[in-house]
Amino acid sequence: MRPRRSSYQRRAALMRLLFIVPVAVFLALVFGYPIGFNLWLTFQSFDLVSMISGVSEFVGLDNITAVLADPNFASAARNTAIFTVASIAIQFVIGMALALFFYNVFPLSKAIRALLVLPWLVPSIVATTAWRFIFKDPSGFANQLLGVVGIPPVHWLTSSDTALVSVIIINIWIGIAFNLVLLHSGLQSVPVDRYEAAQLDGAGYWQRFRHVTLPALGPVIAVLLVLGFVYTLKQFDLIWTLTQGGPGNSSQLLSTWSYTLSFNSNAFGQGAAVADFLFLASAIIIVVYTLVQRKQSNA
Amino acid sequence: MKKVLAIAAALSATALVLAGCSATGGDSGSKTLQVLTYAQGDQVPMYKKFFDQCSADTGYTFEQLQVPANDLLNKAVQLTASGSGPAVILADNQMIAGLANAKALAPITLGSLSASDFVEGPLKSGQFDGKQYGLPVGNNGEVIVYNKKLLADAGLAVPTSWDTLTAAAKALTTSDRYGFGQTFQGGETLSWNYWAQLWSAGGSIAKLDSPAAVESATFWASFLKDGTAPQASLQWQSDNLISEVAAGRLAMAQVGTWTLSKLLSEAKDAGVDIGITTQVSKSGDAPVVPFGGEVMAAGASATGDALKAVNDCIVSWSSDTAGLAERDEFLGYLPSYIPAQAAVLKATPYLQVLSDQLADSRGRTEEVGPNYQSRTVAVSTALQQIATGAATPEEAMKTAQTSAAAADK
Repeated sequence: MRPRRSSYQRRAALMRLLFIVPVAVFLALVFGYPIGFNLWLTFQSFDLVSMISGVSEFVGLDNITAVLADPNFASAARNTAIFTVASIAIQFVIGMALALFFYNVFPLSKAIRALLVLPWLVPSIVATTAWRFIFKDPSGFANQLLGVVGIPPVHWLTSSDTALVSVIIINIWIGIAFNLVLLHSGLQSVPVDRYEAAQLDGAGYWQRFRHVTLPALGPVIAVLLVLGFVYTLKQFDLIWTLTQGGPGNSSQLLSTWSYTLSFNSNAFGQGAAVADFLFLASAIIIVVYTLVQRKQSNA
Repeated sequence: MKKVLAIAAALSATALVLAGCSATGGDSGSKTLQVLTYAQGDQVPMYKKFFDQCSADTGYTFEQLQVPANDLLNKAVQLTASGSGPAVILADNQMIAGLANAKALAPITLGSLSASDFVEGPLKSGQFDGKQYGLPVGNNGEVIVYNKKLLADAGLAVPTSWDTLTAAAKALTTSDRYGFGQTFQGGETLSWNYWAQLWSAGGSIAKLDSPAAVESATFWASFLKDGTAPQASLQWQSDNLISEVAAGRLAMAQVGTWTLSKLLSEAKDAGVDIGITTQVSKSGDAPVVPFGGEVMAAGASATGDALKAVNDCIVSWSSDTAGLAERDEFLGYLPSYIPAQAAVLKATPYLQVLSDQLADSRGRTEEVGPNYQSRTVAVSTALQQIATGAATPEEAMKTAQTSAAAADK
């Protein structure tokens, strides 16, 4: 009996492996290859000439040191940090407030909720083009509104003081919908009896929010923040359509700078090196998320 | 059975797509020749008419593929590397060195044309390492336009030097009008507006942190810093500038010659009298200016008979002198092919200033060859930083030189 059993086990193991193969192949092709290529580029002297000739040299850490030595690195990294943290924090707070607001069903609440999701559904190139008109210097819609209340026009996208703030505002506008949708559906799954129990114990609105809603939403919030972080970190088309990182790098993020290095300056290795830092940041967040999640499910 | 049919259908569809690819990509039997261009708007039908004639003459089908101007160089190389490269590339002349160096171009012959019939600088802009890869479509440049009445009323002479331009811009700025406008949108459109000032101070594109570079960048950004230029110009191109000039909200502006006919007609409707003069220089002497305009070059993917057809098409752009005058007049260009110049200057006399400027011109890639692109990016960022006060001129230009040098070959 023993040999048969082990052959069955071997077949089962093989079957398991077969089920994994399609996913593994897919991941290797769609994720592994580009990331691997990017890593390879980081250590190569790849330029326009190499694109056709296919010949490039190993240059060690030259690309990474060149990027780190460039004064633009510090400013792009700082801008990326501000952009990511500010976007996620404000999106989350507004999204949570709206989700709580729409938790109570009232006339037209469904229709209004659907309208709020619109920014997320509109292709970002369309949305950002609309924002270009809103922020147009000096007579765009935003400045006309300010004019009504007597505030002088603001150089939204054309001043190094406000360009980053302007793109953050737009990114928040896009991101609220995503937060609203996930948090709203999360709220639906919180058992109503917990609220009733808390209310019987004399808990007020904030206490119920603090001790019932937030803990119950924990997993949803974790997913939301991780996805939000990755989406925001790689945000590119928004900045590219609005400011191209300008004026004078004031809204330059690591993602747009990587593109500029690769495709405007044709320094592909340096562009790849900047992209590596983005991979690294995303990877850290995702690993931390996975570890926390594993710990929670084990507990 | 249904599933089998579906799979079969999918497979045959894939096969068709693959067959389609090879039909347009391969050399043998392929009759379609791709023209990569960043032409926009009504230029596209104008070029279509020209390339349709080429198609009729050669038996090939010339088809335009439009991409944004900033993407053209890269797109050309990418397509060439993937084996379905363009047969004709209509590239800004500063891209030729990079394209040729990357082996994305094929050498051509002048055919029935004679080299001495071309303006020298523009003809050379189609060359790299002693080989001719393309011929100029025509030339444009940046000139200064001014509101004649505003200058006369203020008792100002037409500015020629840094000092006189600065003084005039200050004198002409009022609460509802700016003195001087420039294109300050990032990228080549900003950098090439500035090169004449860099050269007039004795600087070189090869060294962006030299005292001459710092001094000229300070000057070029001073209008935005002083508030004599509109802040909105940080996202403006020449098209935006001319409507402001025509409306009297801008007294002077440095604009591309391709916008002059539109400017003059808009200004005429608005009753504004426009003067045109050359770019300024530090001392007020005639400036050395860069020249713009595309080179129609042969792509490396064109070989054998296809290359011959491409070569014939490129030569026919200039050899048809009457057609050339008509097309360049439409584009706002001055032909680089001298036999066609008189006709264009007669029809568009406002290009005389451009013609004068071209006498003292310098190709943009003369100093740095294929390393030009990273300098454009770096200097336009630096100029924006100086203009918005985000960095001092010394810091900004030092950063520009460091970044650009790191991308050098």
